[in-house]
Amino acid sequence: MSERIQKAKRRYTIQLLAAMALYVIVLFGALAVSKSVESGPLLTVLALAPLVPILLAAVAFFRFYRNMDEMQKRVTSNAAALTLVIGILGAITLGFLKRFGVMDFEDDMIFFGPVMIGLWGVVRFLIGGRDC
Amino acid sequence: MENRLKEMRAERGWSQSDLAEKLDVSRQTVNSLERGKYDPSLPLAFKIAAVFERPIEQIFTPDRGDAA
Repeated sequence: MSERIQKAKRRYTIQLLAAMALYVIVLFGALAVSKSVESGPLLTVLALAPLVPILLAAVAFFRFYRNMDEMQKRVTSNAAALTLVIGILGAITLGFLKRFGVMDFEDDMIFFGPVMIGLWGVVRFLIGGRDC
Repeated sequence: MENRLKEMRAERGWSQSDLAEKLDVSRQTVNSLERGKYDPSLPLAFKIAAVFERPIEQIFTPDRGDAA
């Protein structure tokens, strides 16, 4: 891997880990404080606060994406497209199972994002390999 | 598309990592190029030609099907 891409990957890893650590702190902090807050603007701010570290992680990713070589970009984009298809199929499948009463589960969307991101990582690995 | 990348790299005694550094791409990309699993963009093909100091057509040749 070229030195420039390696540096970009290192910087991305550090920024991603920092954003994830901040996410855990902000999430649990906001959950703890929200217990003593009445509904209103402050509760809305607390509920949306965990989005800030997620946005930081997204910015770090797009910076890294800009520094990828052309094949890495292609693999990443193909993996994103495939993940979108799998995600849509998964959502429709679960929707049918729930609507027809085969399965009953809470419609909690909080896990949807992390599952899709994890799936994207797995698909990217399967398409491009570890070093891509 | 077929190419002579592996052979030309070996002639110069470069590793895949050396070539990756010269082309500013990942080693995995060099590996995929050499195995014909990935066809480079025109800008990357020109860069490869410049690194090896050869015209593009001496490095890359179309598959029989592509040439038709």
